[in-house]
Amino acid sequence: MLQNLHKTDTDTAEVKITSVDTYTPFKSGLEYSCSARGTWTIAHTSMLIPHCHQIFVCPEGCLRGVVLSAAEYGGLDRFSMVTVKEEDFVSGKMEHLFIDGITDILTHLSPAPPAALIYSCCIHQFMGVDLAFIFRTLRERFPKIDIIDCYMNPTMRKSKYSPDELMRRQLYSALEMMPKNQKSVNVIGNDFAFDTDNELAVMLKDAGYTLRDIVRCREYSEYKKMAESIANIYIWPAAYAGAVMLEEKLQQKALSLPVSYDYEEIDRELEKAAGYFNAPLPDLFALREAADRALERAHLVIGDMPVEIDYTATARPLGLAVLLFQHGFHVTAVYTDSVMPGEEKAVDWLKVHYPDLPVRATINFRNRIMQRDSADKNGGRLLAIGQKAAYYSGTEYFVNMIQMSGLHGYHGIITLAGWMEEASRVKKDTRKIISVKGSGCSG
Amino acid sequence: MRQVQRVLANYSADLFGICSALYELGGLIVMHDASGCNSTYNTHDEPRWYDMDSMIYVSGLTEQDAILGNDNRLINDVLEAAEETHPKFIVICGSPMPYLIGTDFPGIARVIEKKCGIPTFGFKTNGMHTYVRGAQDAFAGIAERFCQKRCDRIHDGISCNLLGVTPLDFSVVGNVEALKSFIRQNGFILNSTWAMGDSLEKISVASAADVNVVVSSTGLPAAKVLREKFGTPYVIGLPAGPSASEELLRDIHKAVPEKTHSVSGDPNALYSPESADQHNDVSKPRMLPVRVRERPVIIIGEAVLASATRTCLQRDLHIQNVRIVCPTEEDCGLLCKEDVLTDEEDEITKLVNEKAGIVIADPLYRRVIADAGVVKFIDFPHEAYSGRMYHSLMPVFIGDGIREWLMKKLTDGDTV
Repeated sequence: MLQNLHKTDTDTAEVKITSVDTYTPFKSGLEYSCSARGTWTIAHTSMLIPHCHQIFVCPEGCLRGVVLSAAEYGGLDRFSMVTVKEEDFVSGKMEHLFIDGITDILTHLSPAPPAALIYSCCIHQFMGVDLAFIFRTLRERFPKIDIIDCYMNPTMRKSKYSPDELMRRQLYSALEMMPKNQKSVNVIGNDFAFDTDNELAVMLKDAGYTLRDIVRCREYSEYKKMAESIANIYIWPAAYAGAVMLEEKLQQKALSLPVSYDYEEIDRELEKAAGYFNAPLPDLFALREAADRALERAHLVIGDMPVEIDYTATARPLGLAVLLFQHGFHVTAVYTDSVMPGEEKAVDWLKVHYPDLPVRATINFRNRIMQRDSADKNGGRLLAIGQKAAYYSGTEYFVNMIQMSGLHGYHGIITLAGWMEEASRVKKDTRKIISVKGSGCSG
Repeated sequence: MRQVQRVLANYSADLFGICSALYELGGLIVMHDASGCNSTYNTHDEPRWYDMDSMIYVSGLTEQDAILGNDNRLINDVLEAAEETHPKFIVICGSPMPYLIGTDFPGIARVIEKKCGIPTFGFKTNGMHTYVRGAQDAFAGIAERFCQKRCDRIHDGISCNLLGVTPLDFSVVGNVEALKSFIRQNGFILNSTWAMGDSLEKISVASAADVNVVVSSTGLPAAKVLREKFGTPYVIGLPAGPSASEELLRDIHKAVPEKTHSVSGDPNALYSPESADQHNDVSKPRMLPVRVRERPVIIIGEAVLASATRTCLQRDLHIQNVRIVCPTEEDCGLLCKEDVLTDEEDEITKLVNEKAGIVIADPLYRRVIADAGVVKFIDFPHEAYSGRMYHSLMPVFIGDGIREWLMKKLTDGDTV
């Protein structure tokens, strides 16, 4: 347990839901990085393209995180880099370093990869490096390799697209127009395989559709075949830019079916999908009942055990809090640095019914010395959903869910209820689990 | 091609060296960076992060601030945090973007210090040097700023400061404890350790010591500052193996009365092959087979540890042909003419495949070995290179045990 040596008032890293009236409830300032590492970075996500090779052209400090990420998940065979030095800032030869460095790496690879994801960084954009020339030249030199321009540019994270959004766009940029298969549809933007047992996937399968998911692609040809699909379903907000790009480039319909814990919204999404794909709608009433039963079962086991939720587990942590409150759970905190679009209805409901619910930041500088003792205060019995909630609460009981872990819809709720039940019974080695960077990624 | 790493990784960067050096001293340390530096540092380079309180943050630089040169946001955010946390000092240091836009860190530090009255450092890092450079600046800055007065030597015997102790070179597997024990068990008084296990207050009385022991490259500039300010002599070395330990003890005893530092006049005297020959006691039994002793060895790593390891190989295990490849910018005057200071993958690859029979290096260097049947590779993990990945393989290299560890590794599966 960290000791608060500095007498910092951590209250301003926490607000009550009743006072949340903006998407950004916490003042920006110095940022802390807590020890929960399970979420993926761009160095993990890009490995989803089968057999690709990634190359970063960056200064040493920027390379450190990505190269060790690759090393830790056993991906160094698919990773190389070109180090930018001080003299390159003034030499006027950055384009040459870029082109010659990449050429050197690609010509030494045997066999040549089907795709190379090449990352520039913040400094290249600020220096006005001619990236268009660089990538045009590389594509001419290596016509048999899909050269994919990628961006590690966190300085622009608050600009049009964050690096995460750009990654989830560029990940699909090697898809090229091909004849459409009217019975093929993609799910895009997720790091974890989309659960094929959920009602949406089952509905599509029953209607004769093939559901393609980059996470399940084992060969590059499978990845390329995603181009034949007629639509892209995306459930993770950061996939929006990718869906828009594919809609323009390949005329694939962008279909937003975000994760939701609101039964009415889930129904609307299923109706929307059924309408677009001309698929028979499943029995929504039965699905609701099944979800309710699963939550009731979980509540019987979990009882009044406090529950804390964080935004790395789900894009709708406040919506999940509402669902759990409505089924009798004792939600005691939600960790999120911002309120995601789509959570407005949940905020309004919580303000009326649980106005004192604490909403806590995770990167505020005060988080560093926040007492991680809410589990201790309850005799160790606290159920966290998400790694950051587990870290900050200090609990050994947690659902290790990251970016929804592929869950969606009613079946997602049923699965999550089962996970909660199990997590409330079985202790986990929290420190060991959350220390693993990019959980589930392998090179 | 220069600057290309097809298969290798890279070392922890300068700004992470600053954080690592100052981690335990109660400062507010801010990396002026958009995002990523903090999680990189505390995931891979900082094994203390989970358990030990330290105020290390990123500023969250944005595109708009960079374009407009808005340093005020950084200044105000630092002041806000300082007002709440009451740090003993403040550090701001930079990543590549601030370097590109010409951020004036010393100037910003002056503004912050003037406004809050807390000693503030502005280090000109840029994420393009190794951790050694950053940690050197940090330790030297502490020596300049906080070791102000000459403290009375109120002890009997010889008192030492250990300079250059960070997890990046020593990890958290027992080396720091072993190093401190070594000093005490040999009759010295340990005045302070820079900077693991001691407070800023303890370090501030460094002038009470009779000698500074530079145990890694990161401690050398601070030793020079302390010599300049207080006339304290320094020695460079690590007690890794019997001969290096003996050498270091002798140097400490010699440095105090003579007020000299051990490498100033003849930097190669300590660990050079010539020196090894002089010390080579032919009456001692050769514990390694001739076929092992005759194989040329290349050690890749930080200069002081690599040098001490060479001493152990040469004098304790009687392997004569040992070269060092130092990829961490600072040679501390410990490299011989056959040694190489480089971090270039092509050069390292050529050297180890053409000149080495045995390579001792961090496991990630294994990737440059062309033929494992020709070159034997001994894993010697270095936190500053592979981060937290190989803690379980890290030996305690302080003390005599390293000789046995090396001997076992040198003969394991030896078929040559």
